[in-house]
Amino acid sequence: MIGSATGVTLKNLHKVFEPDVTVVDGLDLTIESGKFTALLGPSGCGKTTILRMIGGLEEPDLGEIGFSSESPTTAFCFQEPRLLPWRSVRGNVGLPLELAKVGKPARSAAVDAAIDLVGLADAAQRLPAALSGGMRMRTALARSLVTDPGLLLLDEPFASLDEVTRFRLDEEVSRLVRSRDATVLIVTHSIAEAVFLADEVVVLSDRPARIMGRFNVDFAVRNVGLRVTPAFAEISSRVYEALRSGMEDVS
Amino acid sequence: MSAPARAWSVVWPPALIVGVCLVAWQGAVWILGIPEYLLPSPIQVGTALGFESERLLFATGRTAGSMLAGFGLSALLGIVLGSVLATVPLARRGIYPLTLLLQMVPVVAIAPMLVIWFGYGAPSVIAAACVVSIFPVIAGTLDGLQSVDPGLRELFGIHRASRVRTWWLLGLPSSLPNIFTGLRVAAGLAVIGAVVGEFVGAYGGTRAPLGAVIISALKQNRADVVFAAIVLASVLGFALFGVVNLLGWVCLRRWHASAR
Repeated sequence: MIGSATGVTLKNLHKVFEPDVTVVDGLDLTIESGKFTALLGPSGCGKTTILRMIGGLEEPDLGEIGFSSESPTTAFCFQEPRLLPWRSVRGNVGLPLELAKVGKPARSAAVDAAIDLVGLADAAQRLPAALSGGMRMRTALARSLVTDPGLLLLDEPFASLDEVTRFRLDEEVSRLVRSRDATVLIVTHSIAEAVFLADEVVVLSDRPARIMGRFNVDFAVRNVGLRVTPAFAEISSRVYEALRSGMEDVS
Repeated sequence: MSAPARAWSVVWPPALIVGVCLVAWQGAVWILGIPEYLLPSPIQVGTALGFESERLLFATGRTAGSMLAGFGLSALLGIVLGSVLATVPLARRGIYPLTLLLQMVPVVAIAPMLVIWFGYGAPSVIAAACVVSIFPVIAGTLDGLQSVDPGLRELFGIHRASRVRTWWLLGLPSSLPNIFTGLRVAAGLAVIGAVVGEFVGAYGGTRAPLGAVIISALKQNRADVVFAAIVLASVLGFALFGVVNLLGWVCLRRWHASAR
């Protein structure tokens, strides 16, 4: 199941939803292999649709999506945890391996490792109903990491959580995925989240999504103190300007 | 609240109402002087239960066997058919309206045909219990499978799960609350189907099941025995309902609101 980091190339991507709502209109974008990229844009701009097209959950009407490896191993982490309520944390985390018919011993070791990574070892036997919102998202994150994907797609995974939990999980995600050979693409409408997590922030305009700016974010250390540094504030401000101009452009 | 206290709080309201009804019934029979062949009093029914206990208990055992076999068959076939209907849209459009016939046509009308097809004895009685009780299981399974969370379906799609594995790991567990609702209704219907099937398709005599006992008691104007047999058939229905309820609670209590 181990995948190597997979880059993604989008060429002239179009997507129209009925009745005649153009969500993506000729988008070209390259996501470098092994990088953490954030797609940032206002709500409803089409960023989730782009992510779903990359993940194969939506078909583009026109254009091409190319991957740098022949058979990319992709994992998706949704806005909601999407856990099976009758399965424990362990059962949920192991589901992708079970569906891939990975043998029990190998599955068990991988599941234990993924649960350890997200710090849920003590709650491994609990059902989703007995978990907090943050713990459920961690379980979902462990489930998406358990297959060791080459391309990890995160669709506003922490949007529904309170800010403190969200910051903590952002730090965990940063720690978890940077230690792996994976390309990560996160969709968010939070500037702070995008700047904190990503190596590159791609700012999208309001619908139909067009690229308003690309920002390299080159922080050596990403920890709790980063958010209060002048460098963080400076790049956040530049990203904000691009985001605002994209929204004004359309209105 | 402790477990015995909780159990008592469930039992006493219906027990009280049954007690009041029995007293009123007994009082009405005494005061109005209703003859036994029209309406036996609870005491007369109790006496019949005592005097005919050997025959009635044997009859209850036979009816219980047919009811359980019919119910088991309807549970199995209902879940399989409901799953097929949920998976194959053409089958759903073509077959599901026809399964409504099982619900619409009275079992008394079907029972003679079942005797023609399966012969006298247990097979036609089991078939009657199955025919009467299968529709709620089909409907419950179909409803459950059609209301599986689309987000979870998408999750299984991402992992390229086969239809069978999606059914086994997602559809079936997710549909359990609906399936158990169907099984609870089917439990009550199975005993009706078995007894009505026995009216038509069971052998009489000393080894007769409850339905045949009722028919022979009617011919002898033994309303007390008829009532005693009805009481025992009701006990069977309640017992099966209770077992299904308990099974549902065991399966769902940890994760579904309906069982907490």
